[in-house]
Amino acid sequence: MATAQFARVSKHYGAVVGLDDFSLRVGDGELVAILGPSGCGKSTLLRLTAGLEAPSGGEIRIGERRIDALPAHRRDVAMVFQSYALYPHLSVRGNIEFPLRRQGLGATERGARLTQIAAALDLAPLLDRRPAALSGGQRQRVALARALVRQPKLFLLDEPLSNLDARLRLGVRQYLRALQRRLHVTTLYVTHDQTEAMTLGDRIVVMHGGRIQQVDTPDAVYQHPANAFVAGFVGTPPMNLLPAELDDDGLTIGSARISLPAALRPAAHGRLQIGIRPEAFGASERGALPVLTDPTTIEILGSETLARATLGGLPVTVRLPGIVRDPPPRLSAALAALHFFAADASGARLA
Amino acid sequence: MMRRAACWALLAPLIAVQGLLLVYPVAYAVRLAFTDPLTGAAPTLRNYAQIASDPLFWRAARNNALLPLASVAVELLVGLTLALWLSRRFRGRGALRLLVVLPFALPEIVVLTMMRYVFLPRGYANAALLAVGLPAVDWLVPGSPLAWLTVVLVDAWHVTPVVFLVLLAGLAGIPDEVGEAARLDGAGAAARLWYVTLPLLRPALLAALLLRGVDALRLFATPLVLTGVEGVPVLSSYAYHQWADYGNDAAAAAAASVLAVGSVALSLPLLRQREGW
Amino acid sequence: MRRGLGATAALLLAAAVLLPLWLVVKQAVTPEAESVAWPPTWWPAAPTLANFRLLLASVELASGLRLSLLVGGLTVLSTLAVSFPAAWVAARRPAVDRPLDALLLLARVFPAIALAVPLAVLFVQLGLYNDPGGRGLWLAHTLLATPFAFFILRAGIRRVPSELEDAAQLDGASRAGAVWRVTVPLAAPSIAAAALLVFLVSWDEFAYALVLQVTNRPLPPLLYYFAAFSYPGAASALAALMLLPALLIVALLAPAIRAGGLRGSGR
Repeated sequence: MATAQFARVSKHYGAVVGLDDFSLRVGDGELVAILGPSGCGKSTLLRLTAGLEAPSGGEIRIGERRIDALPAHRRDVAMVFQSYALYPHLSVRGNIEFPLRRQGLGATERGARLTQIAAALDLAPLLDRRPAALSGGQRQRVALARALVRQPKLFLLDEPLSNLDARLRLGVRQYLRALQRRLHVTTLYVTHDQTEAMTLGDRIVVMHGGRIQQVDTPDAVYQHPANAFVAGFVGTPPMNLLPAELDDDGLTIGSARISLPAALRPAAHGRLQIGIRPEAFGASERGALPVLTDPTTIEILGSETLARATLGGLPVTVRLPGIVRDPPPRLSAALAALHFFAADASGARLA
Repeated sequence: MMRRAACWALLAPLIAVQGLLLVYPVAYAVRLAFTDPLTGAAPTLRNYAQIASDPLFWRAARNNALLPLASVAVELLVGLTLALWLSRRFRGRGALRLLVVLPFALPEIVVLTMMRYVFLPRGYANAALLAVGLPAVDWLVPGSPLAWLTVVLVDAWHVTPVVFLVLLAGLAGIPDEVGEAARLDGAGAAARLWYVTLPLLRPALLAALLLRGVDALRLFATPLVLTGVEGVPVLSSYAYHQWADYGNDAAAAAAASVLAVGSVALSLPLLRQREGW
Repeated sequence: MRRGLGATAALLLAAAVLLPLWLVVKQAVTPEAESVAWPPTWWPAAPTLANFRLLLASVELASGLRLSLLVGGLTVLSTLAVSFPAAWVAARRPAVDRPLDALLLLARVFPAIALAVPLAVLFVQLGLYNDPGGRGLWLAHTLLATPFAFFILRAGIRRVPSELEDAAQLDGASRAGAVWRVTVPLAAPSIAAAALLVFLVSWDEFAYALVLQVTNRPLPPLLYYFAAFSYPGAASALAALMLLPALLIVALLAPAIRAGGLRGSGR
């Protein structure tokens, strides 16, 4: 096991930026989730790390060894592909032994490793089957086994759950987490699914447009999003973002005027964006941020209820716990729930 | 991660083979065609003037334009009929498909040898005519329209399967629902063929037409084996004749160049369509 | 009524395709004297293998068969060796695909005689003309067969996801190793089909063989020669012999043809 370090790694495809100025240190045994929408550069990062593409600039190290110029097969990096990429002409045994044979391990050693990983991943009864004869979940376990059997220094997972049906996903997610902890393998986990990132990651790297938006623990990403993009991307439903104006007296949001105690004021003036999580609203009428609900648009999801509301005439989404058939006409949130972001394209968090 | 150099190294053998064996001979032939074989003077149009004064060349050029037209027309008509018939579902359809494709699998020279025995004056075709009380016919008299027609039919016999396979695949790509919808809309069999099937089959028809059209221009062995050089001359057999019988490399190259320019010009639509046949 | 029509059409089709084939087989087992008699017979009066015995004893057949097999075999090897790497690059690199495609289609439409004549002149200079080992013809057939092999192989390689090669590299195989251990086995059916077709192209080829091997003839010009000099017995026996590989190929491809799924094999 080892650490992984990225220093100013970039990748350009002609004028198109795949990855820009990516720097990150992944600790030994740490699982870092790379989260972002499609095209954000997360898959490029994996391919550069794996050696399937060459970076345009920067350095990648595993431990002390610089690997960015090495061919893929010399990097000691394993990867689970989104499609699993199992070799259809080989049995499960053949698939798992493939990397061991490439390492030139003898039959005894191969057998021992195979037995061990097959036991760990419940694959023993499937060893002689071909991938075509396996279910989605079984294929995924074979892909994991093939990647882990040679005990790589760095483990890459590319959307490993996206080809599983929803019912399986939860179980596999927990299983993956436990496995990664047990094997203590340094892991990069790429996903566009924030739930996976939040539940699996020791830390989350949120990416957008080839650039890192925020690197932090899951709760910090949720509670202190570094910019408006992160605020809008993490959380279901996403944080409400509204244009607002800040002056010496307080805040103007649409038609609403709200006075702001000095302790909560960001060090800024003029136009900005405010953010409020939908779950920050409660039934109290006395909160500082009042909204009017629209009882015709509620969506009951069982464990929670979503309602549309207006704040100073601007639309916001409100999330209430449990089943609420008749939401109170007025709800409100505390001022402390407000996030402030710059109005410009950066959307940076204002302290 | 593939370096440009590695990429070129992998392409090099193919490009070398195609380059050396295609480009070099073509360049060589062009030089040959424009060089006076006696004085070595170049460039000269002497060789072209020479073949242009040969009536056989003009017969070859005319045949080379008309034979492909007739041959491709027959192949498209027969191929389409067979494809429409054998795209229906019925017992024995698979065996009939095999039967249709069979001629194309046979070596060209075997087909032609066989057909020569059929159409010789004392051949099987005349024996069949006699057997039903009709007079014998001279199928392969040099220069006769009948010899010309025989060449067309024999060529069609051998290569119609190509058209058939392309059209069969095209028909398989038309969803059944379209025909069923047309039926519900009150279209009869003829209307369905004309307004639904044929328009949808257009890409396949076009592909078959181009593919066969380009091939038909290169017609060589069929007229040569059936009728000899002077029976139904085409540009390929004319060039071969100049080279093999007169040892006139320059005239052969000149005649071949006329054909090559024609073929490549007519194949440009095929290149544009770029489908890997 | 409708059924009768279909049955008649099927019968006509069978006659049109099978009758000429039958006549070759018939002539092959008919004494030569009977073959040249008038009116010709439709059924051998006294079937005999004399024609085959005569043919198999001839020096021309032995050397022709040897030459056809040799050139065919070498052409398969050289064509696959040249086409596979290029087909792989074309399948994995769309940017290379287009120009390569155009080059090969051009080679595919070029008239054989337009190339054969200058090649003959060139081979005379290189000492490859009428080569007893068929080296000149081998080169020409490699040129001729490369487009067929390339298009079939490219289609086969495209069906192997490039992710499998990526995975193999992460599993410790070099790029070449990944292609060898993963792509080649998975594309094996296409490779076999390409090899078969290339052999057949060479086996059947007439124009280059006629021009480049004037006296050291492989089978197709040999058959032409036999037929032109009116040895109907020997010619038919040779024709029947040459049918064998073709019929074998049809038998192999039969399931695909019956299903109507055969494409990309036009020549």
